[in-house]
Amino acid sequence: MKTPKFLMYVFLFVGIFIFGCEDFSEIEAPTIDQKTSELLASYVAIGNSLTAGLQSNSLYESSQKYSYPALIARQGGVEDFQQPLIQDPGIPGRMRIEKIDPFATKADPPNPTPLNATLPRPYNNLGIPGAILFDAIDNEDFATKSAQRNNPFFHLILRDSQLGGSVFEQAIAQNPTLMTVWFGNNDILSYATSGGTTVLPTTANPDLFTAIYSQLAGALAQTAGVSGLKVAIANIPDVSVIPFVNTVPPFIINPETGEPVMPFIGVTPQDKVLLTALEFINQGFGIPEALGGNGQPLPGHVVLTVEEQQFVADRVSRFNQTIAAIASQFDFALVDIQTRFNQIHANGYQLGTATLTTQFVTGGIFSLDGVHPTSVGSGLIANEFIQAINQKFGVQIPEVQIGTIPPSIEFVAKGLLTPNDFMKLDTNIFQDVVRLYTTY
Amino acid sequence: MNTIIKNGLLVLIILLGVIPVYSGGFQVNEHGARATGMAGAVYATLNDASAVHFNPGALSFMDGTHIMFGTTLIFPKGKFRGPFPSVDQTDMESPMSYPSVFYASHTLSNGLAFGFGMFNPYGSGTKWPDNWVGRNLAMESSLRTFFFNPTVSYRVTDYMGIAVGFNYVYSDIDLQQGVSFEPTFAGNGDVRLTGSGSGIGWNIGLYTNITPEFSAGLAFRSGVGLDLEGDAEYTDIPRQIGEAGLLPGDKIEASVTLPANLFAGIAYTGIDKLTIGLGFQYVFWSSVEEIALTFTDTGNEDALVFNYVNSYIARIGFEYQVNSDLAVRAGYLFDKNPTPDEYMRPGIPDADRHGFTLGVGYQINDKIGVDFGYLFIRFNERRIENSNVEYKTGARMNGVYNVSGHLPSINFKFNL
Repeated sequence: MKTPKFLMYVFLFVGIFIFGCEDFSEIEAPTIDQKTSELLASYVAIGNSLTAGLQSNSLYESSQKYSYPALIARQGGVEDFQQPLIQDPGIPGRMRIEKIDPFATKADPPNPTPLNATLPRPYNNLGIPGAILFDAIDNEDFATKSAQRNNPFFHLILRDSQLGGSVFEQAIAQNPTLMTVWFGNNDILSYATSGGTTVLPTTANPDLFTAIYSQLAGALAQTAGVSGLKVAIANIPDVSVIPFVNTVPPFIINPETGEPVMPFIGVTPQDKVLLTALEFINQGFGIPEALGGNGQPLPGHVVLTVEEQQFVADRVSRFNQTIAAIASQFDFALVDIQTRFNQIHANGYQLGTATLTTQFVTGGIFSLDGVHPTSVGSGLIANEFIQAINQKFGVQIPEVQIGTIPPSIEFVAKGLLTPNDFMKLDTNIFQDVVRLYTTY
Repeated sequence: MNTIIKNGLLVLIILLGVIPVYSGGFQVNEHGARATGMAGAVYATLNDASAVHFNPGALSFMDGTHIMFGTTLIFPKGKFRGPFPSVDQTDMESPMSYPSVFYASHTLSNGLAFGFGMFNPYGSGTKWPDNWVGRNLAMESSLRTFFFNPTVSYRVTDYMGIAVGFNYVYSDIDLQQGVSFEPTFAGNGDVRLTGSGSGIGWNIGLYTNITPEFSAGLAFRSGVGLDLEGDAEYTDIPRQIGEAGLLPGDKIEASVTLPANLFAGIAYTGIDKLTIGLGFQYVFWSSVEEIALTFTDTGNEDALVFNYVNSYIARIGFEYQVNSDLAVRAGYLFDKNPTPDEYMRPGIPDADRHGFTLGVGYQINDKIGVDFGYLFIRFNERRIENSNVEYKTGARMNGVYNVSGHLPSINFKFNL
């Protein structure tokens, strides 16, 4: 009799003990070490649309949240990282997919409502869409400049010269401990995306580029000498990696077989046909009358010829030489975006079970405008900065987990389909965006 | 479409996330309140019709007609913290489930016995909040299996009985989870997979009275191959995705092999009024490598990888006969989980677990008795750092799971 009672008590006791004791252990999110926190105490980013977080041809809050400077700040535990947020769908209005087959996009109407305009100090993210290198130090009145350049962002982002008379001055006014600098893309990009028809700004001359960058870097170094500011500067990617120049093949494709028939009229097989060519191709340009076209050559501004490609590549190369030399001279961290994007262009980026590529839309890295990265692409850029900064300055900013970034290519509207609708759908489409584009 | 999926250009996360909570993997071992009270260490004891499940060889040692039916209420409780580096907590919503049993047996005086059992050895359900971080892996998951098990037992000698049985198994599933179009397109939708199917299996048993004080039982239940058929229903999917035919399909076939089980136990009745049972259950979980999915209308295929490893449950139970009408019971079990860290899914949160049981049996009169059982099961905290399961493309479901459950049970028995 005693034994079983005793056993019962033992089991009751053990059971109650296990049931009653603390359900689970404490776990804590990883924290940022002190040296890293100190480096990021005041982080300012300057640059252009890539820095601003523009994607799918618009600057809007949902994209700005995933700008690479915002991601770096988040990874580094920066709590007060301020950006010139603009309510969705932003300026000039985000592009979204209207239909997959045939592929069609639609731009939302602009919503130029700033959400953070009353911030009584300059923004941490001073990336200005459309800015060239010279704009970093240009003291022109912001409103005047926006009017002259037909670009609202100078005025929207820099706001008031009381906060600083230039991008550089507004950055330094924040007593930055870390600055990232990424300029130069726009000093060549407009030439490339216009098929070599745009006249480049005089300041985009390679010698002037070097002189201006040296002036900017010298001023930063001077500040660094006083305050201990650390600087990371990024070089610019080859234009040949962006879907804008890589999506449309130079050939007319037979929609029946998917095989190339002949080059578009006025195009050699080595030329790059730009995304802007699509509306002309759809009208019959570049296609002989015998094949149903209008027999006219594709206009020059939608084709980047071999010579033009060479010119662009030379400029990029010279700009990057300048950037590398300056990083070396002033002991800045050099962020080698060019090499990284060439690698991704060649091999893709393995993300779990998926491979991200530089392909238009489906690749996952570039947004619907074919030039600017998606939020995911922005994460890849942030990680390049983080690696370079960690290595150069001996800090430990955790890298962005790319998989946790939500996809940012959006559809025009969500519709509800019943299971019956799916049964009626043709499943053998959307083989290839390129084919869709060149089917007429 | 196939090209796109193969290239990983568009990854539709449509994964079955099956379930449960109460035994390793998705097994349920509650098949009678008396057994529950003794932590299931009843493979070598006999006195009711649940022997059909636990030790059919013992049926031939019983007499007359026995009927038993009952149910177990399962109240699971679970938390997930993660995915790392986040430590945000999500509480599992806890749907109650109730695996139930019915047994009948009749033993002839010549030692030939017939038995029939209906029980639910696999299944149950979990529910996570609709908008939680792991929604693409599991929202609401329910799996049920119904075993219909006629069996024949024969007393070969005065001290040994054997049994053989047949199992018809019916199963249904109902899985709801999120769908997304990572890493490219924004937007989320839901998918609900429903299906049912059946399979067959067999079982054998051996029971022996070694001495008046010692008895032993051995039983084996075969694996059961299940073929399920059903439908996928999509809701809230972006119109363009549907128009372009980028969903995997509407009609689904799935197959899975439920594991074989080996039961072994001894019982000792040498102490006055006390029965001590020891039990060991070996579960051949390695048959559950994956659930293969085929979308029959499109030909797309997918598979849910489990890669379970064989595992065991060790049991000890006590029954004390207070008087001729009243018995009290207690027990403990340790259940080794079959789920490798890499393949753990929130639809089946799993860990090594400890079970503590109590029970009471009361004989109302000569013919009618009732049993109450209670099992508290506590999972060891499970910390996953090397998951292969992606809750979004390229984002792994690493985190910490804490699960426990309360399982009260009741059964009625009739000796006719």
